[in-house]
Amino acid sequence: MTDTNIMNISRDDEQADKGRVTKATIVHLILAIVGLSLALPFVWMVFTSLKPPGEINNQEWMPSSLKWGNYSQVFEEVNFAKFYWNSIFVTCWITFITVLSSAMAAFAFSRLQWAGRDKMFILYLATMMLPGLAMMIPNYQIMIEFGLVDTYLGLIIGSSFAPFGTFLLRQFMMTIPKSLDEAAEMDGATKWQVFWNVVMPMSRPGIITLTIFTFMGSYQSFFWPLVMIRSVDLYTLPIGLLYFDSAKGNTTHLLMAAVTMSVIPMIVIFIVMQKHLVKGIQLGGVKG
Amino acid sequence: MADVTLEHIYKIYPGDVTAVRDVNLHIKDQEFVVLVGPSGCGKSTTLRMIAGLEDISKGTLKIGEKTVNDVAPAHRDIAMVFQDYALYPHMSVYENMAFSLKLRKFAKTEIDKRVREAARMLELEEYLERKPKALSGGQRQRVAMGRAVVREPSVFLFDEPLSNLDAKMRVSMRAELAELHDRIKTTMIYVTHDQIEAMTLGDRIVVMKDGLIQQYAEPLDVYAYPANEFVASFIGTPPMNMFKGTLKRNGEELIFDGENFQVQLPKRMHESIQSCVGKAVTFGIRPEDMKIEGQQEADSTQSLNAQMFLKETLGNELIAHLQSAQHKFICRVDSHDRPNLDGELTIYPIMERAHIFDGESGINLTVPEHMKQAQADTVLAS
Repeated sequence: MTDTNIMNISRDDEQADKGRVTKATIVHLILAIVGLSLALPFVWMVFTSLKPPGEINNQEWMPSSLKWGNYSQVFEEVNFAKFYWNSIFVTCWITFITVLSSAMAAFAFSRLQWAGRDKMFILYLATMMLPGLAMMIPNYQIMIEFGLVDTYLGLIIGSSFAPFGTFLLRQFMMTIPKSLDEAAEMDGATKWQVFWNVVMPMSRPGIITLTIFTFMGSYQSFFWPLVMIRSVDLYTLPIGLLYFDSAKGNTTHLLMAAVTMSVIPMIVIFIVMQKHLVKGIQLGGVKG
Repeated sequence: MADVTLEHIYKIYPGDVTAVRDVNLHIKDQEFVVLVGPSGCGKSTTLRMIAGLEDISKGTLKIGEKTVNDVAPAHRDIAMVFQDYALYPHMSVYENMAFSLKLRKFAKTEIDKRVREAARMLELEEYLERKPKALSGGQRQRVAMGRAVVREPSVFLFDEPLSNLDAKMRVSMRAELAELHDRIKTTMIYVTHDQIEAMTLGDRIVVMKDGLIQQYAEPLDVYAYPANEFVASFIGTPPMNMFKGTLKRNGEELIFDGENFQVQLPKRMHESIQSCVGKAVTFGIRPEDMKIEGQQEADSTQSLNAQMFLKETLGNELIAHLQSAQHKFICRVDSHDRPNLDGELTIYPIMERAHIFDGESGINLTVPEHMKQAQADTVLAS
């Protein structure tokens, strides 16, 4: 190979490298703009939560001084700790029941043989086509019949059974080899032991995904608690935030402080479970 | 430890699909029996019915003296090794082996003793804390066996346990399985589609096709006296050579006439085949029983001429693919003398080891009487 050829090749390589760098820079720039635009409302929320009351309507983003007292004032104005507790309590129960019931239903739909199983599954899945708001009226009527309106139980039961969860876990469980159930059965396991000791541990990625989705969905749930709850003692965070609406004067700084505090669990979950969340979205994408 | 008896067992799936038909078997205590056959022959279904993983449509299954048709798998006192090992991936090797004992509420000390004993026997001691994914195929297979061994069951079932291993590992695991059987002396029923596994492992083998038992006998008997054309071609590599033709009489002699290949049949065959004179029959002979001139001694009165069209060199021997007019057949030739197989070859069949099969049913007409009786004794009367 001649020196000219070698020089030509190295020049080609340099040009290719430059092209790659330019492409990466453009992609990063676009991503940075999108990321920033998504973060801006959050930044505005935090800054506003730290503004003195007189600066709420200012065009300035930054407060002249950081008023941390807004946060403690939220607790003075309303029983914010109770709202927090209600949200966590109700969300945890909804998540627990949803995941368990979905896993059991998924096990029945994927691992057990019974007449009409697949038809029943399609029927069950069809309920996903109905909008949540359309289901709210009959669900509310049921709660009235059972006397569960304005109770924790009504709040929890009404949101605890999700066809999506069953679908997600069924698809996951169908990938587990049937021979494991058979081996466990020969080892002396009952159906429940097969479910609990073999299939559940092996469905861990699916279960974590469903847990995250359910937790986030329930924590942010607004309409069902709004319909079901009368007593202030049972208010969850999304309902409790209504306290700071404009009817009570200009309390935007307090509302933003309350919202900032209410999103903390979501941020924590996102940071801790980021890896699983991404996996879960992929899983849902692939399986769904 | 127990006998296993299958009496008129059927498996009929919805849509009237019969996977297993009238299977009658008596497997003796401590015996190693191999079910062998091509895919879809019903061997795995039969095994799964013994395990209790498939319902029995008709017939009676006994383990020991007890009829177990309606007994749950867990209560049949059997253990099974699956094709994909079916190890619980979230449990360590120790936990995998201890799982069944835990479910049966054995004392912790007893569980520990049994697991460690089995681990020692299967050379798994250093892997007890590992998860299955950190083991090789052979080690996983040994864990699957260990899981079965700790239960000390009456019957072991194996469903194609070596089929996921590479060729070398398969040979070594085959030896380990044979050793295991020698050591624990328990009834073992083994399913495979690999006839070499069947021949090397089984005390007796059951050859199946289309849900039916074709033959149930000791490996050498199956090889030497195949019950029909299917068994003759399925057992043995390369398969038995088959020549289509007609049975003819020439004075006192019976002749197989395959047009350009005519041979006089031995006197021992006469009684069993004379009713087929004038009918279509198949002449069967193993590749090692066709001697090429210049290779070992042969019956010089019976021969045919052929030319080689393909040669497979295996090291210790050559597989010569030959053609004589319309007949294509195989000869197994000792390769040590580097024989010259070019040009016209004269082939001498060892007639005493030849078989005549009925042209229509494929039944071997030349199985000696004592063999027929022995086979009838092992398969329960239909």
